[in-house]
Amino acid sequence: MEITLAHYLVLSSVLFAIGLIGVMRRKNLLMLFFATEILLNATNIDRKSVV
Amino acid sequence: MFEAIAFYLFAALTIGMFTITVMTSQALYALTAMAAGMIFISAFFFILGADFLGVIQIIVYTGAVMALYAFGMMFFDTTRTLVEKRENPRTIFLLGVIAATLVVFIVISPIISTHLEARYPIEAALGNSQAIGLILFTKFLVPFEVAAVMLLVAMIAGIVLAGKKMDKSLTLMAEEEIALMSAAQTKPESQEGAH
Repeated sequence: MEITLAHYLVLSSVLFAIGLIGVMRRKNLLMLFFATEILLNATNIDRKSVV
Repeated sequence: MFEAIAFYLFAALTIGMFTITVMTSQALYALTAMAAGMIFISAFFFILGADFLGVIQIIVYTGAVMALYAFGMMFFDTTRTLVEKRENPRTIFLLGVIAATLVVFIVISPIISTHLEARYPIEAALGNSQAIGLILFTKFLVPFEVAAVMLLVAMIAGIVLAGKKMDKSLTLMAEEEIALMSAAQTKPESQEGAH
């Protein structure tokens, strides 16, 4: 099965959604930073897969 | 075929690790799962052929950023909620709106103009590190130097903020002096708390 660009986009959006749930859920400040890091990493995968 | 196996395996692992990070109630489990997730994300960079970026992801994200979070969790009490003091909320709101519109315009400007030309095309003979080095030291030299200066400023600011008690060195003092110093510090605090 070929891994196309769409696979990477779906993965990136799933990770972005997980990060978003984390940002909305966490009341602790440090845990909020963790969820923000997840968001950043999801967009990094997206940027690299398009090239 | 191997690429598909690797992709699905690392995708499942990454999603599992990040779900643990956002769902668990213990901070140490979240930290460990986060570090594992960062390493699994670097696998995607290696699958896509960006080996330099994958190694940078492991070194910077897992090695530096997660270690920084671990130290932050060790030394700071994050269970108390922060109370921010805002003196002028309307100015802050206006500045935020201006900054947001600026960022949106900067990001969508390639759509508006079609005058885009590739000045540094990718050559097949160069490897990943050589290509990044070529761009970094010719086209992006000034941002590179500015980022270095910014890191220096941040380091100096960190040392100044942390060195408020640096005139006394705990390793050179005797045990009795340390006990005297800590007793002298806690006595005024307990008197203040009683009143």
